[in-house]
Amino acid sequence: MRRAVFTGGGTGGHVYPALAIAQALLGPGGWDGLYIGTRGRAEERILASLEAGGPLTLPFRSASATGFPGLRSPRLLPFLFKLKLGTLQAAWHLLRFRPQVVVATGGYASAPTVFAAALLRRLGLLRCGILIHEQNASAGLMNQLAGRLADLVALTFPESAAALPGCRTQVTGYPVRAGLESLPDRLEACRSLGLDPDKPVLFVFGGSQGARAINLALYRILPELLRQGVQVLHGTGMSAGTAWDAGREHALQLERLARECPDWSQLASLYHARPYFDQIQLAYAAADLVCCRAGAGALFELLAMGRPALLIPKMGLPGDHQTANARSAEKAGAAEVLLEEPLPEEGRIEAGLRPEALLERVQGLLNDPECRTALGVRAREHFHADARERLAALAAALAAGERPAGERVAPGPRSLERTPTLELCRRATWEPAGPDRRYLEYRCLAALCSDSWVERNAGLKLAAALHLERALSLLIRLAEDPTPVGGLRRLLGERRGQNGFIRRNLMTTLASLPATPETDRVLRAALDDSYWEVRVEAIRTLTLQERPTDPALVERMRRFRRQGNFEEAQAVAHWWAACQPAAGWREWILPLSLHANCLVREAAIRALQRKVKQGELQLADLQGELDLFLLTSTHFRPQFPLKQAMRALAEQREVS
Amino acid sequence: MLTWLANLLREELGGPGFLRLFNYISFRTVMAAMTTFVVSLIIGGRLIRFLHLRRIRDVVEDYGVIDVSNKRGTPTMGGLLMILSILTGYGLWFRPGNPFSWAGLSALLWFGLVGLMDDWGKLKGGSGKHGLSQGAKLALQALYATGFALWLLSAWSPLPEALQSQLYLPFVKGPVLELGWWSVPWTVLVFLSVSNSVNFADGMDGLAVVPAAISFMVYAVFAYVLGNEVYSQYLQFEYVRGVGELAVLGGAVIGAGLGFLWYNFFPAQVFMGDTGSMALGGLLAAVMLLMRQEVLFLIVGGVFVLEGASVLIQEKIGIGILGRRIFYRAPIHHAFEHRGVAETKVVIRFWIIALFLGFLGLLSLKIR
Repeated sequence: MRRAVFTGGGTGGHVYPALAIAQALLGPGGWDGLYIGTRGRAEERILASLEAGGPLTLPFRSASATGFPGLRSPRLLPFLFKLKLGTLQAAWHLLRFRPQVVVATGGYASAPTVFAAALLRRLGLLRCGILIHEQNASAGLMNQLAGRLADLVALTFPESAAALPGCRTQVTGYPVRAGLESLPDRLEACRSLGLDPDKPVLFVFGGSQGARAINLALYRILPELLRQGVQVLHGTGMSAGTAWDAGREHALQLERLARECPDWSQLASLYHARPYFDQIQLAYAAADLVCCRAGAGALFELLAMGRPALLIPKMGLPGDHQTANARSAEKAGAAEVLLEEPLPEEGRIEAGLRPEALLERVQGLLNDPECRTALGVRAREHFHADARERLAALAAALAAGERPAGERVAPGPRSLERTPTLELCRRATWEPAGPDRRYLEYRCLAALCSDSWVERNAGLKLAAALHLERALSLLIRLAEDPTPVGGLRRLLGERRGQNGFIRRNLMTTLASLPATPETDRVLRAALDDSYWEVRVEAIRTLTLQERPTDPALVERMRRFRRQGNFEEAQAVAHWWAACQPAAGWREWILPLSLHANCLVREAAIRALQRKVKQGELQLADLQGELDLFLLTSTHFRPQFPLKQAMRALAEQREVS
Repeated sequence: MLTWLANLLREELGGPGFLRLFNYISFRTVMAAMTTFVVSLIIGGRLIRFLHLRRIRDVVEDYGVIDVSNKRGTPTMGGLLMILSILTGYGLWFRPGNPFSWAGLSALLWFGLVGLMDDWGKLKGGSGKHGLSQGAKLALQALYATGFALWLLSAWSPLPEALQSQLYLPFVKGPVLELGWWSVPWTVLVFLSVSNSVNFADGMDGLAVVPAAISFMVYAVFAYVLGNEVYSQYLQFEYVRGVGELAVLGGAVIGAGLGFLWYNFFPAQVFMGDTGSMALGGLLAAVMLLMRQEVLFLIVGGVFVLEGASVLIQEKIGIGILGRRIFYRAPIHHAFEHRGVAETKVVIRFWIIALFLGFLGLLSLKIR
């Protein structure tokens, strides 16, 4: 009897692939299995439901673990303690069970077992192979850490290799549970779901909990779809938390539809909503098009059945892994992707779907059967049908002491999804119109409505680098954000709106976007901001875009010249040169000739130079007054001849 | 060591009487200063070439795009120069049996070592990287400070009972507060704030070393007075037996500082790095705590207080809470630079301020 330990969890997404591999490995017999996970999490529940009556029996043992809280978090110490305790527990289970192979599918619950197995192996107390499976295109934190300890990391997407430097990897695909890859007959499925097989069927669902953004957009376009004779099968979700109650929302929306649509009573018969589908294969089989999230599990079930799908990845997940999955499938031509975008909602901005966008894409796909067929075919090709068996074979080989072939990953460039937003700015300037432009725009919009100001700040810079006009409405919302501030910021005199850096960089970003009446309003309001850098940047943007002026603006600038700080005085001098007639130079520039700050005097002279260069002023007119400028400077820039010589030498090398 | 040798010569072998000079603090202070200065000059050039060859400097990636107007590529860790010359100079002129000298030297070495690890980490990590993490640096400093505070409270404390855990204010005669065990966190706070403010001040050529030398000068005068039975009685200070030794140490630091300045003022040939600024700051904190004159530092070290406070306000209140700048730049010397005041001008203006604040500090000897 050979023995295998399975681990993985924290969330259901990591448990099902482990069970699929277990099915394939233990099914034929000759193996004993054990599952190590965290008590009270998804894996315990799923394992318990399994034991009730199935061919597969896996005893469950627990080892404590929690999600990684971040290096600076106060919960770091409890995390480390639990991890250490869990590793000891796992080591105990491993020593008693003495497996020949450990199969881990990621998630924090797998950390103690993998660490314990690696440790026991190093100490010579246990001889076993370690196989890790990564489900997502953007590798999880746990697998990035544990990947090097493993003999082999099996990948679903080739893209995820980039995040696993130094690991031995092999692309196997995603192990779908047995029985899911064969599709029931469509007629049968329609009949058991109470659908008319002659009319098109759209299946929309957002996982077991439901997806709020998808649901809200669907309720909006429902009448339009139903009127066209499309039958809509809707898994609304079972979420009943405080944030969002799927059931209540559903009832409210139905009420609204009944009220607002005169023909709802006829349409309602085409709409089939349930909180959850126990036999999801039936829904898949009946559907002509599936709209869903892009978690690896759901995505690969879909691909396995060769269903055409419109994927709607959830915004703002760790490593943006749903988007990474969806983009990978899209690149292979196996699915279409609709990205979420930030939408205003009751005064807030939330990730959401524009109903029109959803309607357009759904109609486009429903009216194009050839495209759907092609998607389905490509999906089946893209799907590794034998993933489960290959993984089981790999596990068996490791148990037998073989070392299966794997490529050792060299450190490479990070995928876009894993790149921090701030670094994407450089990317954006390199390839302003590359194929990844759509994703960069999406990340920019996502960052702009992030909860962290650092991320919003990065979003502003990305918007500037992309010259993203679509961001304009969000930027104006940010600039005019009425949210009152609380806590310490309030005590220190701030009242409402975004913090100073956001306001300042917003003004800078506006310089790379087209001028509109709204941005004009925002910039003028910024001239009276309480933070000087915002005022200065607003003046600079007005200058750069050479925006038209009016008497009120000129008066405001005059006030800056008289009482502003030195940065404002500098900015106003440049603004005058860009936006004002040269004739006013005696009023605007001459008073600066004795300004206490030499940088302001320098700016004044440069402003005159610009006017003279443009031919608006004659040097002869200035001659007498130039004498007034105080030319002693407290500022200078040294020149080191030694370094000049070295540079000259180094430049020779490039010439020759 | 020379003191011991001179006494040996005079007493055992009947050497000439002028050897008695070697016992006097004033004489040893001046001689220590001169020795460290000369030692700095002698080893300075060599050490700079050594540091340069060991690549202890900013990395210049490509000489083809080298900026001809800045000082990148200048060797750092010049603090080693000060530490080495203090060790040789003070080693010659100190009195080995005195606990104050060992306390001062231990602070110099410990904080110098912390700075050295930080500098080393920065060099290995490439430009822009931190050597030691902020937390690790503070923890190492606090570790020493805790030991120092416990030593002052213990039975082996060199301080008279009246000074062990009292808080004294400048311009006020008696102690104002009995700190008791609170003197431990208080000592840690003093060590952390002084050493880190000196570190912040070290951002321009000669900006940290001259104000530090001025502070050491003031504290050397205090040490001389407090350690002298007659003068301390006259000025109504608590007499601290043996604390005069700190004047000699102060003299050594001043000499080493000036010797370092020889190479460091604009345009610098070497930077002191964290090695130097931490060592100076740690030693300064130790010296002031040994005389219970730490609050006087708010005046004497006004430049450092300004630098430290500007960073604290900018980072914690400005960026941390408000999400905006409060000063143009922090530490404050960069704000002046940003406003178009050249580095040399900022530095010498700060020296002038430091000198006046030093005089003000000396005034607190008499006006109380």
